[in-house]
Amino acid sequence: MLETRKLSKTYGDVAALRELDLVVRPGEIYCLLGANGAGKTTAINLLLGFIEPSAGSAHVAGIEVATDPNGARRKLAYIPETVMLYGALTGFENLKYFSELSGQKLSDEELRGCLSRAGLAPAAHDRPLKGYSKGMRQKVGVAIAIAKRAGALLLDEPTSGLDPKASNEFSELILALARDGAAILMATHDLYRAKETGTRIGIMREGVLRAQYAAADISHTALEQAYLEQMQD
Amino acid sequence: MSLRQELHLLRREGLAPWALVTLTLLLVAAALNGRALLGVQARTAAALEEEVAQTTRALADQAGRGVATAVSPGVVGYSLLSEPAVLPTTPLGALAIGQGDLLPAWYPVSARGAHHFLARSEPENPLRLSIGNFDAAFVIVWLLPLVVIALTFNLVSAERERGVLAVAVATGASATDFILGKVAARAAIVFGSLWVALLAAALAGGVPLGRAAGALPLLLWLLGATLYGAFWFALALFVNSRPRASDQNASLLAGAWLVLVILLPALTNLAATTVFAAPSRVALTTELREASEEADRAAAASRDQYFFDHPEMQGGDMDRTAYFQSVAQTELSISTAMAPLLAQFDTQARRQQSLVEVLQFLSPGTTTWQALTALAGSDGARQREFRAQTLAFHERWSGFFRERLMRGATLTPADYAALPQFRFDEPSLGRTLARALPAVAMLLVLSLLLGGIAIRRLRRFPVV
Repeated sequence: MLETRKLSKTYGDVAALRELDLVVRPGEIYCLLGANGAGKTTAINLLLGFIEPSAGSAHVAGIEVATDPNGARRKLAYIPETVMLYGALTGFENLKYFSELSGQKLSDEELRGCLSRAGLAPAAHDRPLKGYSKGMRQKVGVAIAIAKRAGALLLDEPTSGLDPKASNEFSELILALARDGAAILMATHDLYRAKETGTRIGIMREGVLRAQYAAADISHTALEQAYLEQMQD
Repeated sequence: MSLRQELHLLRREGLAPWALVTLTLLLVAAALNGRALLGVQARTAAALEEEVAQTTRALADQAGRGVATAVSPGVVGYSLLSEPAVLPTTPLGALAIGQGDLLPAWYPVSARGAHHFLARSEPENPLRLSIGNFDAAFVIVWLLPLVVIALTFNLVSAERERGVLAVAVATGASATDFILGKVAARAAIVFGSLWVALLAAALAGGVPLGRAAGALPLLLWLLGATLYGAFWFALALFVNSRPRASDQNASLLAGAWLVLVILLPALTNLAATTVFAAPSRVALTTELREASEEADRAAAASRDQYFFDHPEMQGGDMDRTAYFQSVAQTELSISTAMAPLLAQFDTQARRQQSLVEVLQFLSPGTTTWQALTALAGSDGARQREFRAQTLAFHERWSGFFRERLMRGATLTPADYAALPQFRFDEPSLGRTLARALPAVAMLLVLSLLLGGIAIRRLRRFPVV
């Protein structure tokens, strides 16, 4: 489970995030919408412990991130906009590298199973990553999350720049992970993808969570209308 | 952090084979170069000793037959025979030539004044710390840091710039562990390559690995080289522990190399030779000429006195013994006149060395070079010891002939058999270690200090 309580981050006089209260339960996909600079990535970086909060707290599986950042990170997986792994290694070798780094001891068969489950064709497992498309790299990132058996996922605009097919495949993957019980927080600009994959949707602006909706209760058109209204001064 | 995985990554990126091959080739080539130089020195010394031995045997034979020149201590000691005082090569000599190609590896000691053989060498003892020889010590002191810098300048910055650091830290591994794992893998490659390459270089350089005299100094050499490499790893980690761009890190480390390996040793050399400047070569030559002229005038007066005392000899040759007694007196006069100036050179050289021994701690490059040459026996201290022992031997050698000359004795085959022999008495291992240990201690302390600060900083390193 992911949770933030009055989570705030300021840089000098600038408030990047203001009193964010958020709970993402196992099996949920929470989509954060907002323009650039709205505070989506700041919220994710705070949950990852990459930056320290100015006020409030972030929790992963009950662990306060600021107190035990490594402990909290062991419970989650992170997929950035572009998964930048090692181009000289194959997809399989990258997965092995990062799963060993996370303390996992999986056999080669199990690792290949993770790659296949993430949708990477077996023929691509042993090709150097530098030849992968962005979508294939994202799949390796998902495979790392699968191998880690992470209970929570933080996704920072993971479908940005993906073609519709790859984007759809990625959505299917995270839906599958949510069905397996993962709590997923995804920052995105993609309203359509948020509506299609999200359980709940939040709209942020200037560091403030302005509105929240249950994805099932709002149509595409209504979501777009609400988003545009929140973006207006 | 899995060291195996990191090594695999480095192998895939082509860094490991590159480091291994480069270091090995450089060190083996350097050792072969050192061995070639030592070979020339050894062959020259052997040829010289053989030539002198043949001359001695021939003279002894002639003395047995009463040949006038061979029985005269004056003719033999002051004209025909000189004994080469040879500085023997050391087991690790090929790895660090040091000043071996600048300073004499042998002196032709005769009964004449010491200035005759000292003047043939460079008496200013230049303390040339700017390393010019392509030997294994050069590769380690100058080039090893560049290999370390090439492997580490973007150790953290590249991971951060590429976004890999965020993914890695998000796995739950601490940034410190992740980075230290990378350092450990690179250190394993560099030190593994260094040890393999140095062993290969030692074999190529003819180091007797089966004997303690070769194996022990080589082990200490490996320790010194490893600590020097560790210092550069620690410095690279220290530079990387601040969130800078890769090109800034590269500039900082290249600047550190320039200052620590090139500028500071050069400035140390300059400071030593400026603060304790030795008298000039021109002064030495002028002094020698004046002393010779003065001694010649005294000798001429002595010869005039001889013919005054022996009017029956007027118009003939001077008695050979008396002539060489006069020569001996002249040589003594010149030596006495030259002694203060030569002592001045020695004093200044000692002062220069003392200053260098203090200033060396400004640069890990200088301390390491001092330690490596000390262990290889090619440093200034052993050379000064050789010079001192040669001067002591010169006293025995010239005394041998002068004593017989002054009492009017003749040389017999037994005298030839009893001629003094030069044997260099090697400084003890303890003294050699005493010269190498400060460098080891300094490198260890610096590495721990820089590494410790870097690790503290990495704990708060910004991942994004």
